[in-house]
Amino acid sequence: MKTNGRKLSDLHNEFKAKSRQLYFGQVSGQNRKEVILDRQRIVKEIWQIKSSESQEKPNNLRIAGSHSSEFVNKLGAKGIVFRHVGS
Amino acid sequence: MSGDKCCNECSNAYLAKLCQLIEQLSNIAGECRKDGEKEYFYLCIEIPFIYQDEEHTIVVDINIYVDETKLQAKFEGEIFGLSTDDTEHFMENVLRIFSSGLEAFEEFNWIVSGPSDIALPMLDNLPKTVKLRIGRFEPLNDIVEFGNKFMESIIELDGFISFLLASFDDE
Repeated sequence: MKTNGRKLSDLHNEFKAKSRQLYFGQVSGQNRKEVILDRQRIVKEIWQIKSSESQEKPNNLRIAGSHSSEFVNKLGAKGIVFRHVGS
Repeated sequence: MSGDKCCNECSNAYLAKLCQLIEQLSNIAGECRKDGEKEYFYLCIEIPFIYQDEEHTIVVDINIYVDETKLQAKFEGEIFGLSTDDTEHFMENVLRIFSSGLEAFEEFNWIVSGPSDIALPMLDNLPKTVKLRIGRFEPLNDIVEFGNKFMESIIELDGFISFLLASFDDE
């Protein structure tokens, strides 16, 4: 967990540096595309770490109102547990 | 989007600072506006991403209100333009983030609210365009410091949106 925390922090810093480059660095053309893709690669890593952490905890999503049982079943199969409220 | 933006009269010094700052940013346009007697700053931000090898843009509208009696600025706005042919998959991943709690968002220091249209999993009636409401508060201290906070908030907004977009190709 500690390792993940450090890794996440490093990734956040790397992401911010790329964003500053994109916003303030006047990048254009292919270079711009590469910076955008770099950002997406970094945030993808963040996403994967966060996703793996969230799977360690029980999911409990509150859904209000109507719902599709097909959708609920599909997500349920992926480990998301719904707590239904309302009709 | 850049260039002839802002530069209009902001009577509030904090808002005038924002006006000055966004001049440097090619992906942000903004201006001081009035709601009755109340002045606020309107921002429109374009956040780029590459999807299927093409550049797309997420557009974010933000209004910034300063309350000098509370020494606080309120940022509130909407992210829109989240449109994809793979909406179901995207929604599933947004729900997954919500289901893991707000922890995922807190790292970016933005509060996401009013996602009623997202929380309803109506597969047969999914909106083509997804809209999220966002907000945060920042203290009003020194004007330069406020400007720095503003810039940081933009970078964090960018991070938050990119985080959501990472769900596009999550398998």
